[in-house]
Amino acid sequence: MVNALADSRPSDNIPPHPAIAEKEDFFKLLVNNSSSVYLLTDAALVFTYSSAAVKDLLGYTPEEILGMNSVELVHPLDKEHVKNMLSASISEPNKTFVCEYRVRDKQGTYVWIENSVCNLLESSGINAIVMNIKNIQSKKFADEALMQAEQRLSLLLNNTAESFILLNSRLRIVTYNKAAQEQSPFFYGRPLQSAISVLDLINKDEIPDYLNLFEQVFKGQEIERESNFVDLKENAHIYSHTFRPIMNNEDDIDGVFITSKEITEKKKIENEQQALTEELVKNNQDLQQFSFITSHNLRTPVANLLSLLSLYNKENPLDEFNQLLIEKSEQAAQQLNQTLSDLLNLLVIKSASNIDREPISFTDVFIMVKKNIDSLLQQQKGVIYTDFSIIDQIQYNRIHLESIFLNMLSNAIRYRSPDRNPVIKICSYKTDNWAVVEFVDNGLGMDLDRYGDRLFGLYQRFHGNIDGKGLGLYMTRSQITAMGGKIEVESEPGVGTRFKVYFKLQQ
Amino acid sequence: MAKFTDVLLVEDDPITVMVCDRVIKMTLFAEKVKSCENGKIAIDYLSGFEEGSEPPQIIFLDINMPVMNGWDFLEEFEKIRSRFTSLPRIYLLSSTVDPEDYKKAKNFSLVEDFISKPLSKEALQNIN
Repeated sequence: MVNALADSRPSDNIPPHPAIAEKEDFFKLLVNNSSSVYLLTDAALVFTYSSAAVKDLLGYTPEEILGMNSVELVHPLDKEHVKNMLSASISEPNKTFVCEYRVRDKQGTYVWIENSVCNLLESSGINAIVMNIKNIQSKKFADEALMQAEQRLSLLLNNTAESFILLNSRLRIVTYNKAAQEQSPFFYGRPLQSAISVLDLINKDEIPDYLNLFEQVFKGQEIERESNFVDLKENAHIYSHTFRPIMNNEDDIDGVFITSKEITEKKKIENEQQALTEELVKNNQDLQQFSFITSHNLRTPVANLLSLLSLYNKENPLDEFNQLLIEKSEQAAQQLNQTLSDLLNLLVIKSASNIDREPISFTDVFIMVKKNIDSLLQQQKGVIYTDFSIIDQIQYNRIHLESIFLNMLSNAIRYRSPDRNPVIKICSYKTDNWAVVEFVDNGLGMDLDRYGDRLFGLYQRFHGNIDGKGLGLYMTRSQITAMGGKIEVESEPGVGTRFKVYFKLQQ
Repeated sequence: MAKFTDVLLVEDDPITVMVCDRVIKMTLFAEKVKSCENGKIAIDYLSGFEEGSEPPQIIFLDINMPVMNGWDFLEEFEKIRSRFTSLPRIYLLSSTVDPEDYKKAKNFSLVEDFISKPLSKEALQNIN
């Protein structure tokens, strides 16, 4: 092929051998019909020959190219690089050098080419530097587009908080993103690494579980999991992981794609919503119960009135029994009135969700309430000890707090033991976010196994022969829960009772 | 001649007791009416019956009472029922509107029915 090119040199005087001449025509045909451009230069790198294809590549005719220097059309940024390659070629004859660079075409546009250069200056019959040039514009564009696409993809993958790990069919790690690398020490206790098996990362005792999981994934299922871990600052994190099967072109599963993301905040909100829902359901049940009980308690006196009237002897108004019926009717009407006003009071407490709070001292409240029960206390020779030294002041509603104290103290005296004088101890302390006030008495006590669930119920009474409507503890509890607090009780029959009232401390 | 010999009324409200006693006697429903003001007193009363004796034929039982309510009474009665040669028919007498109470009543085989207060002549006529 190279021989053929030598023939086109104008300075050649030797007449060609006929067989050789035939061959030369053949090669000329090849060269001129090739999409590659063939060029020859002299030792000064000036073009001495060009094949016809140069017109397609650069827009110049072969005649226009002749006499140009090899580096003349090279992009300024590539010139240095091309010069180095050409001088290397000159110092190493017979060796082919390949170089990619841009050249300017006739219209001034730069075209990417690949040039294979071979110094054959010393080869007899050629005596030229041979260049074979191909247009690689489209390949360059494709490469660049691919590179850009890859860069964009990795930009996406590495700038998301979600972590990605790709496993092959043998559960070996193929690739992963930056987030996966960062999270890995928390999940697995060691960094990720390509080509290792994901099973090497998992705790030994969890392996059977994961094998089971991957088996399902390879059956085509997508599986979601949650996991928890605590970071170095002792903050708890919750992550959600998805394991998805990866299909190859034959629709076989040949890999697993694991994505993980933090859902701590989302979980927190979910839990808060659930707690709120539970509270609402509970409140709703309370209200329903309240309505059942109030209807029951209104029906009782109404039923009594109806019965009493039905027994009234209309034929003989002077019937002695009629007198009794009238007396009882009066009582029933009063009972009805009392029930209504009790319920009204309860509704006021229950509906007042926005009650004013003020700084209020347990000592002050106690002194106030004690005035109301003093005569009863003296009558029963009772004593009350108080200790509010740990916490004495809270933000609360004065009327509610006085009512709570009054109920607790009057209950302690009312349900005193017949065997001993009442001793009541009140103290306050703090736990977590609560201020707690304890009321301890040495009274009758209660069997909480039997009455525990009903103790704070509306119209529930547990002692015979003692005047009580079953409202006190229900009211007390309502006054406490309406302000975000709670009440607990411990009791032993014959020994006494301890009530603990929890007031939520205000931030 | 009354329909039944004796009735036990377990009820804490004195007016209700008075009215029931009157209606029961007026309608010749029973000859004797004994009333107990809560479940505990009723259980104590029934525990005083001799082994192998007859219990009251009919018991009217209120639900909401102090110390021992109607449900407590029914549970406690299970423990002493073996002393009687026959079993009483128990009617819950209540103003309840809570559907839970109706469901709960089904768990006690001794409970014949629910009667809404006030106890009327008509309700008594239906008990035979």
